[in-house]
Amino acid sequence: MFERIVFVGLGQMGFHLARHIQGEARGRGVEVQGYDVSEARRRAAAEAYGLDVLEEVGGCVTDGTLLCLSVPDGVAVEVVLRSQLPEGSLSGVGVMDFSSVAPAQARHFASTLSERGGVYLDAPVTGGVVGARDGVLTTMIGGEAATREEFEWVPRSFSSTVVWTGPSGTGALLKSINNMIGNIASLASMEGIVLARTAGIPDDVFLTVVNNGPARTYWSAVRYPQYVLPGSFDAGMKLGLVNKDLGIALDAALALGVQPTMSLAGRELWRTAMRRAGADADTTRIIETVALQVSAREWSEIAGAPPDEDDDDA
Amino acid sequence: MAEGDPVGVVGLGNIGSRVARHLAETGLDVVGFDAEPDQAARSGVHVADGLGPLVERVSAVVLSLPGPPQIAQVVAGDGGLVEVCQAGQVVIDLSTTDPASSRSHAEALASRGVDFVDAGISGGPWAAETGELTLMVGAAPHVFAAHRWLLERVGTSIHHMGAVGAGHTMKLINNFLNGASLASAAEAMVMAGEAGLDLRQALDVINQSSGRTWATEHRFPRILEGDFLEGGLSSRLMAKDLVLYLQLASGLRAPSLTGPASLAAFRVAESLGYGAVVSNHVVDALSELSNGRPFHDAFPVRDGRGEEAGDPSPRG
Repeated sequence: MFERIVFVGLGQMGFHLARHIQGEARGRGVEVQGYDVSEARRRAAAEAYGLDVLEEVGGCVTDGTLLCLSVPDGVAVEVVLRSQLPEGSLSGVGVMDFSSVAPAQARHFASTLSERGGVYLDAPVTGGVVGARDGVLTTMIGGEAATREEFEWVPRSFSSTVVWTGPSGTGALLKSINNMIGNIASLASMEGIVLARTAGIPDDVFLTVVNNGPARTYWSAVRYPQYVLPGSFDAGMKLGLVNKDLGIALDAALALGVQPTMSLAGRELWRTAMRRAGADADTTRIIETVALQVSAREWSEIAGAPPDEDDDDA
Repeated sequence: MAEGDPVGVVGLGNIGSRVARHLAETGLDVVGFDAEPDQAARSGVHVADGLGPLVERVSAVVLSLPGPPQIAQVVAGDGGLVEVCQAGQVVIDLSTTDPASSRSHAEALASRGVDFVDAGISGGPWAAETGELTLMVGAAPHVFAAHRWLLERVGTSIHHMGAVGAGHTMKLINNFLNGASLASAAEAMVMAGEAGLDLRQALDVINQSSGRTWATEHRFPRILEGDFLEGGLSSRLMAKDLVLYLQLASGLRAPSLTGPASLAAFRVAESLGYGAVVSNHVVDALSELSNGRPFHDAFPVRDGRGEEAGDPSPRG
């Protein structure tokens, strides 16, 4: 059993994850410490919930430590592992990686740790920042854990659902499949929106029907009504990240002998959106590319002017 | 109508003006009309003041219009051919359009005793200028026989495909292959470039192998040297043709997997700012998707001695 958790990466997600873990760990007598490369984020966690933050993380991973990660990508994971894991045996050292990494990277990390007696579990989460705040995420864990109960309470502290997906890399793979479905299904929603708009069907009518049955998607239920209709285009997810996610899922699919032709075709729309708006542009900008793609008209022309908040007062 | 009768040409654009000029060169009395006076003036064709005055002076009306809406306006609109044509006249539609609307125009004209011939064309502006187009014709057999003399002054390769609509159907199928093979060739050249292959060599191999198409044989040798054959069919119009093809496929309940994919390629070109220029620039759009740069910027073609071709200074 580990006696200590070091949580690296106190960003939008990690901030909440570490908080939930700390709350649960207290009753179990497990010590929790946190670290982030940003001093501001370290201070935020320390001030918000009294997290014991490390000014430097080097050398803190020892026998009996569980290293938890919530960092931007596999490259960042690699950097943390290279710099933080001690030389020699890793017996008694565990890593739970809540970041989203490619399945092949996860398998690489797992085999690297396992060769030296340690455990690496890929444990990406889904449910967004709100789910993290409220502790209702879904966590999918890939890897061989001798005793699940040794590890499972950690993600249980911030999840309503924890699933074990199979060998190392399958958690990461399921996460990218989940993202792929969401992003490709979004395209179908957008095609329907352009079509309905073109036919003059009002948005509220459209959304009432679509969101009340099997056609409901995350796009139709959340992104479109919350971030496109008001004209704010600020869902907080970047086009570059969507494209990267799709690349991970599709690479994995092709490597497994599966050729998802619909998703491969849809990926080119996401790529076009990124080329048009830039990798840092908000994911909701995809609607502009879809509008051009399926009707040769600008989204602004299809959507009309954004609704004026003061209309009712006029 | 009889052989040698005067002919009207409606739509004096790229193809229409050339067909009209060529018909006049064969000795026919030709009068033209275009809804845009500037285009009419540029055409070098004797023009009438309107559709009505044109129809009064001719036996045959040849259409060369951008697409279904313009054709519908000219045939079935206010003061259109259905209203102004007389029994015994013929309407010959050289436009690219959907066969279903051709059939309905033919019916409306038949009720006035006016014949209708749909004739898809291929060969491009040069063949139009010289009267050497390939024509794919849809018409009743007796109608085809009666007007064959006029078709023979427009094209040298005349194919009677069947009843009204068959000509435009054939044209859409051919244009689909034109678009699909161009999009495929562009994708292949970007792929070869990304893979680090020598593009000239890759194209040579393709053109000696099973991958060769019109696009690899007649477009890409020029494109590789920096000549995109500007002035040809734009991506926007290519997309329009592919939309008509998809409508055809959907109406026939026949499968089309490469149709949507090909349309997507030219819409990507439109989306990245290449909509108004010749559709060969689809290779620039695909290159941009791949690496953020147009084709020649991403993959400068080298000459035989291994030096970069052309002026090494930055592009303006």
